[in-house]
Amino acid sequence: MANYTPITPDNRVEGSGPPDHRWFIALRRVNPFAYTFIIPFLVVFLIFRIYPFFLGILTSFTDARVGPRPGNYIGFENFVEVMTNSEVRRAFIITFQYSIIVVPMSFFVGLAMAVYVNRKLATHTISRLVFFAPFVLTATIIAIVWNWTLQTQFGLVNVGLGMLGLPDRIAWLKEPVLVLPVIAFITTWWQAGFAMVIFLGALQSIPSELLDAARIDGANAWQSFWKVTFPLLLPVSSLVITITLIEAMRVFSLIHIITQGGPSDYSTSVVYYIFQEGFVRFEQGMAAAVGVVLFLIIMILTILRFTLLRADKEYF
Amino acid sequence: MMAGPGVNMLATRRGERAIRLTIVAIGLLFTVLWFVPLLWVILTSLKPTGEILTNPPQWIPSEISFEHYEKVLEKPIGQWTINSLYISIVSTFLTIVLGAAAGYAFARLRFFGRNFLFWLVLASFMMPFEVMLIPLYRMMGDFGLVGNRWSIILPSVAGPFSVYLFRQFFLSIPRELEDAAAIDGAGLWARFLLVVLPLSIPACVSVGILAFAENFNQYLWPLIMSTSDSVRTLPVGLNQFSPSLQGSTNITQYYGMGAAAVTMLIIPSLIVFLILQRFFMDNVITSGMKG
Repeated sequence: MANYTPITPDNRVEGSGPPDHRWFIALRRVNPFAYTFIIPFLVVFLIFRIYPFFLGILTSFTDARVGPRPGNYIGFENFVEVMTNSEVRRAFIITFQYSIIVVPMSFFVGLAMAVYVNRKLATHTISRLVFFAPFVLTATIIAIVWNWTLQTQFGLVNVGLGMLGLPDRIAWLKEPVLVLPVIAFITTWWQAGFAMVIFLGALQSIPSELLDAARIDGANAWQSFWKVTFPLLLPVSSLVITITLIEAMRVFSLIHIITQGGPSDYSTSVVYYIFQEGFVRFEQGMAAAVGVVLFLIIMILTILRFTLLRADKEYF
Repeated sequence: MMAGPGVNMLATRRGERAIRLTIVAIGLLFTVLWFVPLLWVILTSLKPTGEILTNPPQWIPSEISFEHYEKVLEKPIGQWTINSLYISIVSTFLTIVLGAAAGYAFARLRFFGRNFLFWLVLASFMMPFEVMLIPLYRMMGDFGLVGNRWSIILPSVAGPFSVYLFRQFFLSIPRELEDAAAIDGAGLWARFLLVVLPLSIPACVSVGILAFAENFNQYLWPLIMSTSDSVRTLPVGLNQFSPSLQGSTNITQYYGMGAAAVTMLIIPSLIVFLILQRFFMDNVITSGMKG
């Protein structure tokens, strides 16, 4: 027999009493004080998160410009424009290209770092701190440091290449072909520590028996990594990929500070386009429409991310 | 000739050791390279102007010079720092307080509309902030909050991640403790404040660090809201030292100042990181959740 604790209806903690199925009994047990817990958050949440979201969708159907006037309803005109305007299409294509570069880059760099620092040696601890350190710095620092490290004439990268006898006058941030890979590289330098720590957590939860068994069966380190360790990292890998992908779709700060979308729009990402359209050219209806399209993409990725989280409860 | 198995094994072991040493050497090389840009900036901030742009580069300044720091301090960098700290601390505090209370309600209490509201919280993870830029900008104008630090605090407090994390944490606390307190006649708030919260210090620390880092480092929204130095945050203010953003061709004058400005933020950031590194790294896992 289950213990019955005599708790009064408005005193009870949910789930502690006998189960009930009828909603009116449930309703009678509602504790009015519960609302004092939820209302402060709810007010802020509804006003500053939910309401602006729906307002954003409404605005995307208007020709709103800056100022108090809400703009006229113009139907799907902005969305037709999103589909047909080559600048907007280009911003999406550039953002996809950037994602295709940055996601594998930070994935493999983060994974390599995690595998490397996964030992309890002093040098590895230092490496771990160094690899992670850029992640705690704010975007402006990263942007200014690299803007300069990659400077054509005196930048450390070109100076270093010169010392090795390689071409040393590369305009890293001014070449259309180079600008996206370079921003992806800077982002990797900045954020690979994040992936590293997630991989490290997963690596440390792998039972050492599995690796011992592989070694006894004659596998070398390379084989046992790809045949034993890597498959066990797959759930966490898909999570890292989704998170990096969502972040990549929203890339803005580095572009704003380093390239301003240039050279000639070769690094104008979606969010940089929204910023320009909404707050420089003041075409706010159009900016909202691009935002809605970005939302649809991110919604799909977020659903994926939560599905993966659920599949991988162990680490979270 | 026949080589015995022992010889073979010895050879492999020697080979493995060589490989391992090579890996460590490469790893150390990368570690140094990874840190060089930061080290370079810190050293440069102390160089006299003439030694900044030299090829080959001069690593160690011949004399320590604070001229760039003096120039940086002509900008209202103190005001930006105060703004950043004010916004981050107030937001973090509110995120913890409102998030913990709401998270408790979602974890333990029943009230009309609970499931719908929790679904809404989860759904809001999918709403990128960029969709809300335009409406929030217009709302802040309507509310008369433009030029007010609350225009940056309120949208970040409205984020769902702390509620979600606190709910998950509270679900992992055994109910029996609260039941015992309930039997002793403790009301909801007494149970929450005296029983649950003291057990939740680790969750509060996690949420606090995440929220602080998030708030301190946010860029896009403060950039849009920074109509004057009275609201401008440090990350936004410091972009004045980016020559390309300022459209300046005279890059030389920016280098020393940029290095000094950036160093003034790198040093405290790294110190805080070294002190709290364990929390930071543990929290990365939690931050897989943040929206």
